[in-house]
Formats: sequence, structure tokens, C-alpha cells
Amino acid sequence: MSFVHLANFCAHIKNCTNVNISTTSVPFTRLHLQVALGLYKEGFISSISRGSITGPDVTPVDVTPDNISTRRLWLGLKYRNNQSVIRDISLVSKPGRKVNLTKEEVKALASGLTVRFIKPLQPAECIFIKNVKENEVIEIQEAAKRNLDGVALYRVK
Amino acid sequence: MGKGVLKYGGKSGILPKIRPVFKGNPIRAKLPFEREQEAKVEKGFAEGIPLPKRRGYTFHRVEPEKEVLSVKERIARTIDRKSSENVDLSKLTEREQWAIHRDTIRREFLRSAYLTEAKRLERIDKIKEEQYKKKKKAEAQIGIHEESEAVKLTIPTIESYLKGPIMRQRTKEEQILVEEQRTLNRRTQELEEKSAKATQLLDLYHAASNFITTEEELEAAIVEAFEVRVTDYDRTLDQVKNKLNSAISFSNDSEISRKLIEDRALGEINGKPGLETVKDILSGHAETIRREAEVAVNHDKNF
Repeated sequence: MSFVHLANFCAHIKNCTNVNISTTSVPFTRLHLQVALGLYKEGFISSISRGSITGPDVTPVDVTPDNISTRRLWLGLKYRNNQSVIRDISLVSKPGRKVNLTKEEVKALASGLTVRFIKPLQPAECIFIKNVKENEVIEIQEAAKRNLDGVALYRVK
Repeated sequence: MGKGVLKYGGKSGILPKIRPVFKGNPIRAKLPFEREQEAKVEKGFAEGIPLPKRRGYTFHRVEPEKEVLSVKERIARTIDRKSSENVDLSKLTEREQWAIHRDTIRREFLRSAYLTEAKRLERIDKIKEEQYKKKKKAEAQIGIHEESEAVKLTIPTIESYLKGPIMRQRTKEEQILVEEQRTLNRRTQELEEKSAKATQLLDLYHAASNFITTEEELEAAIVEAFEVRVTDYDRTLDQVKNKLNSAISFSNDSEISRKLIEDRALGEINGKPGLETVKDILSGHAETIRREAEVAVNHDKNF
């Protein structure tokens, strides 16, 4: 997992929402897919589809070592009243400062407390963490419910 | 109430720790839930680790449980057995009578204290057991966490992507094809490099015909360059100067490019046979074609 790639993802989404682009594409990787799925589940983006650099696939295409470089993940961005649904998206852990949260810290963060330097959750804000054991990206409320720990990845509002 | 007192539960200052009524031995055997909790904790000294020594005390690998001394037994031991029965109070002095009376009151107080404390502890046990059961139930529920209906209906496809590997590896046939393609590419490149080298060698061979190899030839060349074709030399020098000073002159360039195009089209090197022609002659292919052509011409003449 690369925080640099995640930072690029966040910056790209932010740039796209700043200029009101309807769909955008990111490289097709597991991390990007997990992150996009998290955003989709929480209702920050409207669609996820596989595709190539030219656009979303009309017919499904297998991902092979021969076409992996051209494979992209197409995300449909959401807007309401000419305003982007994603107001801000930013990393919590940085490549040089990884934030490992214990189960207790996850619960504290989910219940609206400050954990170390992480500011408390605001209404309509989500923090996503990555559980290394399960190898999945989970929203902090769900992680608290499932009693999981993990690395704080990014927050979106 | 002073400032900061609420911090201590509304009591002024920090009170001493409450002393337990039942000291030493426990009043009941351990409850099942307590045993369950204790089973999770490793206790005692491991095998192979020497036990510590202390005078008047024996260490055990696993500390044996303390003997249970129930409230009833305690009362029997400390209160009932020591109560002064069959005492003729009339024979005692007033002071002694009061002493017995005081002791009786104290014993009764102790009895009621024991009973009350036992009830209190029982209540606490019940609460603790309930809490333990609740905790266990909650933990069990965490294990069977289920996603909402909306999630189940909308995201099975993406979840399925995440379940398996992101990229499908090549099949055996595909892998063989790719390897063949790579070999072909490598060989094509090698062939191109080799033919380029051969062309260069041929070019050198052709150029070698004009090389000056003897002293006489050198003399003749010097005479021709500096005495016979002096004007040519001057003109070339002028051309070079013009080229350096001004824009590109097309007159000479067009001549060069015409020659280059001719060479490329006919497969020649400076008007001399190219690599393909040499190869055909060496392999005898050119000879075969010539013979075939002759046969064809003779055949046409005969008819």
C-alpha cells in the first residue's frame, strides 16, 4: 500500500471536484478500488466502473499483464445544487507519519473525540482506516462496530 | 463544598481505602464465570523456572486456592463459639456483667455486619455475572456482523473484484505466445543490426577501391588536387564558407538527396551493388533467376 498513490488519488478527486468534472479515472489498483468502494458506500461518489484510458468499458474486459497499464477505474462524481458533494478529502496518515489506531482509539474517534492530532469527526464526515489483518478499507464507524484496529488513511467530508 | 471536591465524589479529601469485612479466606467457592475468566489468564511459575525461596513460606508452581470459609462457619467460629453461655450473672460484679453485655452487643453487631456484607457481596456477584454475560453476548454479536440490505443489493460486483486477484495472470498458451513474440522481436532486432553492420562493411569495401595504398598513387593524388584541380578545391572551400555563413544551399543538397534516394530505391551503395545484390550472388539466387530468364527467352524464341 502506498500513501503516495493515495495522496495522488485524493488530490486528483479534489482537483476534479473543484472544476466540476462529472467523471474521472484513476489507475486500476486494489487500494484505489477499496478506497473508491468506501466513498461509494458512504454516498460521496455516484458510480464506479472499470475501463481503459479511453473510457469506461462497454463490454467487460479481463485485466491481464498485457493491458494492466491501460486499465483505469472510472468514478462518477456527485454534485448537488452546483456544489460538489465532496467538500474536502485529505490524508490523515502521511508517507512520513503513519497513524496506527488501536481498537480503543478507533472507538474514541468514532464517538467524536480527538485522538492524538486527529481532529474529531464533524457531521457528514468520514474517516477511513485500513485493517491490515483483514486487508480492507473500512469506515471508522463500521470499524468501531466490528471492534477492529488499523491505519488511519484519509478523511472526507 | 470547596473547589475540585466533586472530583472525589463530593467527599472532602481522599478517604482511606475501605477495609474488607471478610479478610483472608473467601466466603464462597469461585463462580463458573469467574473460573472462565481466570482460565484465560496464565498464572504461576512455568516448568523449568526455579521457584523462589523464602523462609517460612512455600512457593508452588500454581498457587493453591484458599480454603472457603463461609459466613455461617465464620459466625460459628468467631461469634457463637465464643459467646458466654451458662453464666450466672448474679454472681458477677456489675462491671463484669456490663462487660459480658457489651461483648454480646459487639458480637451481635458483628453478626449483622457479616450478614449484611454477605448480602451486599452476593448482589455485586450477580451484577458482575450479568455484566460478563452481556459482554460475552456483545462479543459474539460482533462476530456475526452483517451488512445492510442496501449494501448487499448494490455492491456485490465490486466486492467480487476485491475477493480474487485484481489481475488475471496469463494462461499457458498466452505465455508461450508472448515468449515467442519476444524471441521474434529480439531476433528481428539482431538481424537488423547485423544487416546494418554488413552494409557498413560493404560500404567500406566499395570505398576501399579509392583508397591510396602506394606512394605513386599518393603522388598522383597530390598533384591532381593541388595542381590540376586547384579551382575545384577553391570552389569547394567557397561552398563550405557559404554554408557556414548563410542559410542552407539547396543546389548541392538536392544532388546528395537524389543520390541517396536512388541508392535506397535500387538497394545500392554509392551506385555500387548493395547488400541484397551481393547476398543473391553469393547464394546463387541471382544465377538461378538469370538461367530461368534465359530458358524463358529461348522458349519464347522457339515458338
